[in-house]
Amino acid sequence: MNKMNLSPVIALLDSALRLGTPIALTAIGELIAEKSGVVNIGIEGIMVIGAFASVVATYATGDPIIGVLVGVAIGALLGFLHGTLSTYLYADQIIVGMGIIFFGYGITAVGNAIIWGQPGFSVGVSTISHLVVRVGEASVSISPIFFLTIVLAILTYFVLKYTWVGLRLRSVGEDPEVADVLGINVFRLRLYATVVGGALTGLAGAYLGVDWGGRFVSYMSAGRGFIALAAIIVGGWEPLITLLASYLFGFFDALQLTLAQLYGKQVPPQLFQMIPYIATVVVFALFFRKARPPAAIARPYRRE
Amino acid sequence: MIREYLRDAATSLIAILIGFLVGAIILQVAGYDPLYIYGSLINSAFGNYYVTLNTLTAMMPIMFTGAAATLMFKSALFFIGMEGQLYIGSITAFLVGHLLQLPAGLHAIIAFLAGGLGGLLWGLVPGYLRARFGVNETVTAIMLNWIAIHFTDYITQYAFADPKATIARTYKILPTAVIPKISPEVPLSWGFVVAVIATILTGYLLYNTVIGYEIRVVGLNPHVARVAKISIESTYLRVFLISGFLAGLAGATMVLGVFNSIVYRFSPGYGWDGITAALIARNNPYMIIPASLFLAVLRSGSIGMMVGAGVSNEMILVIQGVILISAAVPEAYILLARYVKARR
Amino acid sequence: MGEMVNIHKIYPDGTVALRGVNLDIYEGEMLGLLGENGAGKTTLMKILSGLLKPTRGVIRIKGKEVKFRSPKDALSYGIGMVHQHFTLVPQFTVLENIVLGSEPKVNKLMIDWSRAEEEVKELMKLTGFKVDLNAKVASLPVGMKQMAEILKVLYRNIRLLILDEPTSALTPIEVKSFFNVLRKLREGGVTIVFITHKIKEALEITDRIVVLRKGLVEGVISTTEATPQLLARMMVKVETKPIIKPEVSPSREVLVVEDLWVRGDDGRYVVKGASFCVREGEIYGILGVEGNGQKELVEAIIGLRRYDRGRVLVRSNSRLLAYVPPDRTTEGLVLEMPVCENSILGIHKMFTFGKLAINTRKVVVHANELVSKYSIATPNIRTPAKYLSGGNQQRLVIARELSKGSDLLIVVNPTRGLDIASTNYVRKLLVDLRSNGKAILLVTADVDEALEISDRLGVIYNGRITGEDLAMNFTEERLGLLMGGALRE
Repeated sequence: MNKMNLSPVIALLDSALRLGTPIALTAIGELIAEKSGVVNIGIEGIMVIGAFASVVATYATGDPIIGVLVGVAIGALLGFLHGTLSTYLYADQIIVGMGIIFFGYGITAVGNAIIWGQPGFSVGVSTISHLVVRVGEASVSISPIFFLTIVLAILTYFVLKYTWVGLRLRSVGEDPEVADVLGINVFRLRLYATVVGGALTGLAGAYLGVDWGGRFVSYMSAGRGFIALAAIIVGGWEPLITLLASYLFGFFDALQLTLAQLYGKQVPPQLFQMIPYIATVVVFALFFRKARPPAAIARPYRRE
Repeated sequence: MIREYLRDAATSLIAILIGFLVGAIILQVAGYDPLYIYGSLINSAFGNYYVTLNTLTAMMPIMFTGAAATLMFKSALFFIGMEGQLYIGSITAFLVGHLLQLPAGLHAIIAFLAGGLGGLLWGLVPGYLRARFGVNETVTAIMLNWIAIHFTDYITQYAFADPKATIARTYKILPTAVIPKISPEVPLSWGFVVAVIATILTGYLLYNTVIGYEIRVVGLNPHVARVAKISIESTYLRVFLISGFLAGLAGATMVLGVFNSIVYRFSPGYGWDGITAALIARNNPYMIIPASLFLAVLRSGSIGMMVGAGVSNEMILVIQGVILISAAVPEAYILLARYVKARR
Repeated sequence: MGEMVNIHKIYPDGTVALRGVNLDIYEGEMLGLLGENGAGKTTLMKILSGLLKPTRGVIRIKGKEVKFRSPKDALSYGIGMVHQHFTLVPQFTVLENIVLGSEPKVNKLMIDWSRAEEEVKELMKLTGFKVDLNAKVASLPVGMKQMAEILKVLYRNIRLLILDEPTSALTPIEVKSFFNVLRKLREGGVTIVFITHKIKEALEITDRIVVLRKGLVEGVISTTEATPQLLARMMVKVETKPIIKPEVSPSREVLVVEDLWVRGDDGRYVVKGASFCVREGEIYGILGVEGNGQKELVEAIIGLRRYDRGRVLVRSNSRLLAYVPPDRTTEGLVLEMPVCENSILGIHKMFTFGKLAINTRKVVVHANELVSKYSIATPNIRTPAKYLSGGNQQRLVIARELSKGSDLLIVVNPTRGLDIASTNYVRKLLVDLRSNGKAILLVTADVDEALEISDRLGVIYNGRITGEDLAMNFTEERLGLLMGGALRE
C-alpha cells in the first residue's frame, strides 16, 4: 500500500471505502435476515469470531483465501445456530443475539490466548492481495472484497425485488401466517436467510482479520455490528441505500483516523476515537425515518 | 402463577448448567482440566475471607446495573447502555468527589448522587429520541457506550491522569467523599448495602407504585396503555431516567467506595453483567440479588482462574454467552420434557 | 368428490371443536355449511384445507385417503380456502399477493410478471372482478380485498373452493354481484363450500345445506326443502327471547357530537361530518359494516384521536369515560396481568396512598367486588386474565368500566366472539343500565344486536350517519340499503 504520495482527500476516501466495507457486508447480510423476519444482533459476535477464525486459518495454512473461506463458513454456522433457535425453537431472538456477542468476544480472546499466549492480539498473518488502481500520479490499492460487497448489495437488491425467492422471503417477514397458508415453508426460509446473513457477516469478519488488519485484535469488531444495524434502519431496509449508509459510517471512522494522524499531537486521541460513534448517533437520529421494518420482525412464528 | 415462577427458575438453572457444560467441553478441547479450572474459579471467589469480599464488591455494581436493566426490559425496551452510563456516572461522581469541598459524609452522599445523575443524563438523549421519535434504543445504546468509554479514557489518561500513579488512573478523590467501609473487620463499602436496598426498592417501584404499574402495562401491551390513557412516551422517559440513575450509581459506588479514583477501564463489563443478571432473573427485580451474586462469582473467580490456572478471564464471557443462548429457548426444555415423558 | 369421516378435533388448549363429523361433498355442488359461532364450521374446513390436522378421522378425495400436512398439500388436490380474516400481505401489491407461492417464472429465478398479469386479468374477466393489480393491499377497501383473496385462490386452479363467511365484509349490493360470481364459478365446474351463519344466504345460494352444532352434524337437507324456521331450529336449540325493555323517556343529552370530521391513519377524512346525540336512559346504536369510520369516530370521542372540525360535548358527572373497546384482548385487558390488576386499569391512580404507592388492600376489595357483582368466573383475583374465558374477560372489562361511575358508556362490538350465554348476559346488562338512566353509545356491526337492544339507531356509511330513526322503525330492507350506501336519508 503506497499512501505516501496520496493527497489527504484521496487517502480519506480510500480509508472510508476500507472501513465501510465490513459494515456494508454485515448490513447487507443482516438485511436479508431481517427481511425474512429474523433480527440477529449477534452479528457483532459473528463478526469478531469470523475475524479470529480467518486469522487462525491463515496462520495455519498461510493462505488468506482459505482464511476468508473459513470465516464465511464459521459465520454461516453461527447464522445456522441463531436461525434454528429463533425459528424452530421460538427463541427470543434478541437474547440469543446477546449471547452470541458475549460468546464471540469471549471465545476469541480465550482462543487467542491459547494459540498466541495472550488474549489481546495475534501475530501478523498475510493478507489477501489487492488490486492497484492508479489515480493520477498516485496509486490506490483496492480489496477484491470491496468489489464483492458492491456486487452482493446489487444482487440482494435484485433478488429481493425481481425473483420468487425474494418475494417469498419478504412474505415470511411481513406475514408468516399468510405465507404458511400458501405453502411457503416459513421456518426453512427464515433459517436460510439467517444462514446467508451469518455468512456475509463472517466474510466481514474475515475482511477485518486477513484484509484490513492482517492480525486479530480482541473486540476488533468494536460495535460495527451495531453500526450495521443502524445502517439498515437508516437505509429503510433497502439494500442500496443501506450500502450507502454503511459507507457513510465508514467515512466517519476514516475521518477519525485521518484527523488523529493530522492533529494527534495537539489533541488527545481519545477524543477522535469518539467521532465515528457520535456521528453515527447523529446521522441515525436525523435520518431515522419512520421507515417501516418488516411487520413480523423479531416475532417467532408458531403454527396452531 | 407459582408454576410460572418455578418454570422460569428451572429454565435459568438449566441454562446455567448448559453454560458450564459447554464451557467444560471447550476447556477440555483446549487441553485443560475443566474440573480443576472450575474448582479454582470457586476457590478464588470464596476460598478465603479476602476473595469473598472481592466477590461481594463485584456484586455491588452488578446489582445496580441489573436493576437498571430490569426496568428497561419490563417496559419492553431493549436499551443496553448500562456500561456507558456506569462510566459516565463514575466521571460525575469523581468530579464532585475531587473538585468540590464539602464536609465528610455529605460530600460522599452528594458525589454518590452526582454519579446517579450522570447516568441519568447519559440516558436522557437515547430516552428522548426513543420516546419522542421512536429511534431504536439498542443501536443508540451501543454508540453511547463507546462514546462513554472513550471519553472516560480521556479523563483517566489525559484530563485528570495522575502522573505519579503506577497504573493508568485519575487523581484520588478527597477523603471526605470516600464511602466508608461497613467496619474495619468487614472492609466492604456501605455501597453494598445501598445496592441491596436499591434493588429491593426497584422491586417495590415495579409492583407497588403507580409508576411501576404503568411501566408494566406499557411493557406488556402498549395498545391497552393508550386506551387507558397511560402516556407511553412519558413512561419510557421515566424508565430511561430511573434506569440511568441506577446504572450511574454503579459507577459512583466503584469510584467512591473501591478505587477512590477512576482506574483506566475499571469495569470488566459490569454493565453487561447487569443485563445477563436481569435476563437470568427473568426480569424479577428481587431475583437480581442472587443473579448478581452468581455473576460476581464468575467475575471474581475469573481472576483466580486466569492467575492460578492460566485460562484467560474472558472464559466467563463464553459461559455467560452460552447461558444467555440457552435461557432464550425455554420452549426447547418443555418440548424435551414432553418428548422424554412420551418415550416412557 | 370429497369425503370427511368421523373427524374429531381437540385444540391444544383442550377446547373440543369437533366431535365426530361426517361430511360428503359432491362434485359441482354449492354446499352450505351453516351453524352458530363455535359450531365447528371453520375448524372443519381448516382441516379440509390442510391448515389444521384432525385429532382423529379420515379424509378421502375421489375415494382415495389423503393426509394433508400443510395447505400446500390440499392445494395440490385443488382444494383452496378463502378465510374470514384476509390472508393477504398488506404491504404487497394485489398481483404480488395473488402469485405468491405459485409464481410463474421466466427462468429458474425470475418471476414472469407479464404472464402473471395476463393470467389474473383472464380470471378477472371470468369473474367480473375489477381490482387494481398494482395497488398495495393495505390501501384497498374491504370489498376489494375480498376480491383479491378470491382471485388468489382461483389462480391456483382450484376445483374445490371453500369460502368462510365471505359476505361479512360486503354490503348487500356487493353480496348480490358476489353471488352471481359464485354461480358462474359453479357453472364452470368449481365445487364450492360456503360457510355462513346467515340463514337467508344459505337459502339463496346453496344447493344443499349441512347444519353443524357444537361440533356435530345436526342435519343435512336439500336447499329446496329447507325453510328458515327449520334451519333456525336446527342451528339453535336455546330459544332466544327478545329483550323487553321498560319504558324510559330519555331526557338530558349526555353526549352530543356535531359535524365531526376525523382523519384516518393515512391522513384522509374517514369521518365526514357525523352528528348525533345520546341521551340518558337510552341506547343509541351506530350500525354499519366495519371500516366506515366507526373506529375513528369512537377514538375521536374518547380523546385518542384529534378531530379537525365539529365538536364533541360530554355532559357527564365524571371525567372518566366508560369505554368498552372492540377487542378486549388487545385493548381492554393486559392478558398477562392478574384480574385484580386489570380491574384498576385506567383508574389505577385512584387506588393509592399519597398518589404514588398503590394501596393493594383497596385494589383487592375493588376486584372482589367486581367479581361478585358481575359473576366473573375466575379461580381467584390473582389469576392472569388470559386464563379467563372470552365471556368472563368481557365481563371484567365492562365491570371495570362501569366502576368508573360515568353517566356515559361507550361500547363497541360488545358481544363479538362470545358464546350465547355471555352474549345474552352482556345485552341484558346494557339494557338494565339504560333503564337505570345511563346513556349508552353502542357501536356494532351486528344487525341483530343493534335492533335487539337499541332505542334509537343511526346507520353509518362512509363516515356519515346516513339514516337515523327509532330502532323499531327500521325494516330489513331499509337497513340493507342504508348500510350498503344505496340510500341516504
